[in-house]
Amino acid sequence: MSSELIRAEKIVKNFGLTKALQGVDFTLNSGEIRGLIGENGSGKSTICSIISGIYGCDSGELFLKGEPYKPVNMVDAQKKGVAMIMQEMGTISSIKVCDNIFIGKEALFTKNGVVNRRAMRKAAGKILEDLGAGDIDPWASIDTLNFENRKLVEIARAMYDDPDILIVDETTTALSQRGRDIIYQLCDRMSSQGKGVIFISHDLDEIMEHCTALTVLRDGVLIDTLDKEQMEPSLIKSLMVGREMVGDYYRSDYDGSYSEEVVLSMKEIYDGRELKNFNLELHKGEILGIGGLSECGMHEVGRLAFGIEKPLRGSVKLADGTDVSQPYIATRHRVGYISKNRDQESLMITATILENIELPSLKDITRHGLLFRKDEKALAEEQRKLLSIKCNTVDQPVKSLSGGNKQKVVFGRWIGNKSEILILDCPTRGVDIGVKQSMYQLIYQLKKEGKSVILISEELAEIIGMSDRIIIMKDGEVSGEFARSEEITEHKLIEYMI
Amino acid sequence: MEFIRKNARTILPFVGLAAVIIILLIISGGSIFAPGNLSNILDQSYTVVLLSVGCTFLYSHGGFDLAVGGIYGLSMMVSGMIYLGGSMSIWVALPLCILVSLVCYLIMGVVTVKLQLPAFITSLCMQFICRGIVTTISKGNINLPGEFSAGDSWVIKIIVLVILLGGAYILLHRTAFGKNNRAIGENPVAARQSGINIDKVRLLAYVIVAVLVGVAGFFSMCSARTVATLAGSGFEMDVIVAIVLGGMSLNGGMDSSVRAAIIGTLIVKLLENGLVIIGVSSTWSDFVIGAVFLIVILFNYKRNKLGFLPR
Repeated sequence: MSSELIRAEKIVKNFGLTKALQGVDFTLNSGEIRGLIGENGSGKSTICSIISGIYGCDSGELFLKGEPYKPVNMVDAQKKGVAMIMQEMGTISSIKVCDNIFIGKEALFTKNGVVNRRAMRKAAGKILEDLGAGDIDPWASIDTLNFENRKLVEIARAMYDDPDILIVDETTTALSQRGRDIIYQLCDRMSSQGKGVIFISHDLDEIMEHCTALTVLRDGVLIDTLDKEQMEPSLIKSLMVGREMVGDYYRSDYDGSYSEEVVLSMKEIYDGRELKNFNLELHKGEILGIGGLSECGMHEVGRLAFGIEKPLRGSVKLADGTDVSQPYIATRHRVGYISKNRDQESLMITATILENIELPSLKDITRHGLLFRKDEKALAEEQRKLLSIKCNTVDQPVKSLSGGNKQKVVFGRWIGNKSEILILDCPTRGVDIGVKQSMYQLIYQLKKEGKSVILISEELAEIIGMSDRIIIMKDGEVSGEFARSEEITEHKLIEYMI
Repeated sequence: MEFIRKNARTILPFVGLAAVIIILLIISGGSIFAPGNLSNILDQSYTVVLLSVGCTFLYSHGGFDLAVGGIYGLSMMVSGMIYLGGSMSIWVALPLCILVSLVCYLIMGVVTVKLQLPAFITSLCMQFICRGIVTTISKGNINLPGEFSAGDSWVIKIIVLVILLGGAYILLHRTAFGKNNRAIGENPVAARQSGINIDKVRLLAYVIVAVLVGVAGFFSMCSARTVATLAGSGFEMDVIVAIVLGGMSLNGGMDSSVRAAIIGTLIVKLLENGLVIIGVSSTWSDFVIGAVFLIVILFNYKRNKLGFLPR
């Protein structure tokens, strides 16, 4: 039964000076659902990208079912039976669902040079049905679909080729339970057909429940592969981090106190879409958690509070009465914002760490109207040390960093700008346990310094673990409000969400 | 070697410039650097350097400028005609040139920034508008009196050039405005979310290019002592070629630099002049410049695949 599907031998891959993989040996057998876990920058995405043909490797060999295997690109890998579902968006916008599924394969439905769109639509419908997502209309424009359904369309496209190996790269993080169940079922089905799945995730519970084996990577080295019986959270965490986890994960106290002073207030906000009559008050020294389903309007609350979008009715005001109508007005009053789309909206991805960190603080470090390299460097180095950003120099482009370290750069930007109010939209999305822990410590530290934080998150555990006060939203309205206490459980909160 | 690989984008334009100089020197037997021709090259480069450096401020924030030649021509024509209409010092023509250019650029800037139209389109329209005004009001080329030769002094011109280029360098590279301007070209969404007042920064860039174009116009009037209805036509292309040959991306971003505009202009003007000197007809020199441009563009877009430059 367990014949070998893919074998990687001594894979080495460097990105400039960064050693992404240092001689990794990896084998996937048929029928396996192999979890792949490691901190950001550990090399788990890199090894998968090499297997799926996105990059070549610097040295080492790959074997597919015993035969030497050298995919030239993703399409080549797909032809050979290796498909990958990416972490980020992989659908093409402004065309129909069925066109997305059969992109590049229109020839299957072409007769005398004309594409038979009805046949295509029918075939697309069948694939979606098989996947358990029959409610997606293959004739709809892809833009009308939410993130989750677009992800499912991408999966449908990958599955049409009937791959032998499916690589799922941190896809489940952004999906609801329904989307996750569809992926889990798909994995089980592939496993029972003697195919193989590589499943990258940061979620330990998910991996322990659904994977048959687990490989841990750290700093480009394969640390260990565990059987189902050996999987145990504390062991996995210590393998990942390379040391015992010390200290608390979230904050340990249940003293949810904060000052009475209101630093930011949103009154009777109507934005014409999700929010109808939304009110919120943020106090000095408060961590305010906002939770809900991803479409509940909580992300819009963050964008409105920072002035990225303007409400049609209602007001967003700071303590001194300033109207927050533009982000530059917010930053001038020491408000910072971290977008949930880090690479697209927060970072200048090809610019350096230094250039990204100093951006909102340029006026602060200007002397006699000029910027001096010494001051710029001091600002960036301070944040690099404070947040222990893993890099060779601060003049290195941000795109060479791993996800967690990129997020640290964004945090550093606002801490360097001495933000008094921080609006964090899913700040730990796609960030590994080690970095997550240090971010939680940091957020708690900021609170103790009297700063105020709005923590918007789809992860209830994080909101329960960190907040002084929790707001749960549903359909653009506040459906429940809770003070910090030991009694709050995820189950209790979910009731208010749906 | 590692240093060269890392800084290839900075070094290559210098290598290109050196190569152009050496090749032309060898083929022409040194005659392209004969004193007479050298001042020719400087003359031709002077205007385009100022225009290119000015336009760098627009290109670096993701803008585009097809109007620069038209605005340059209009500023000369309007201030030349006003000068001829009344008796005054030739130095009045300098602020006049800057004023005309400023008005044109501010109209273009406000339309582009506030109405959020693509700069490519608005500047193309502006080019036609300026050229239209020039031909309508002038009814032909105008000649300027000999007094204008007072401004045709290399001492003055070099001092002005050093001040303007130095100022532009400091503004683009060493001030918050310059960093913000380039950050907008890098990623406008991230720039806005980092607290940059995008509209204000972009408008300020229009003011800066306007000043440089106005000054360039004034000194051209001094050295030519005539304003042609077609003066400046095609300069927008010279600027684009110069910026790209200088090693800058037309999409702007953090890599944008004043250096690129200067080096690029020198390469273009040396090539143009050198080809004529060594006896290539001017129609063929356009062909050569087009071909060089294509190669550089190819290299810029495909460099990742060539694996020569770091990603």
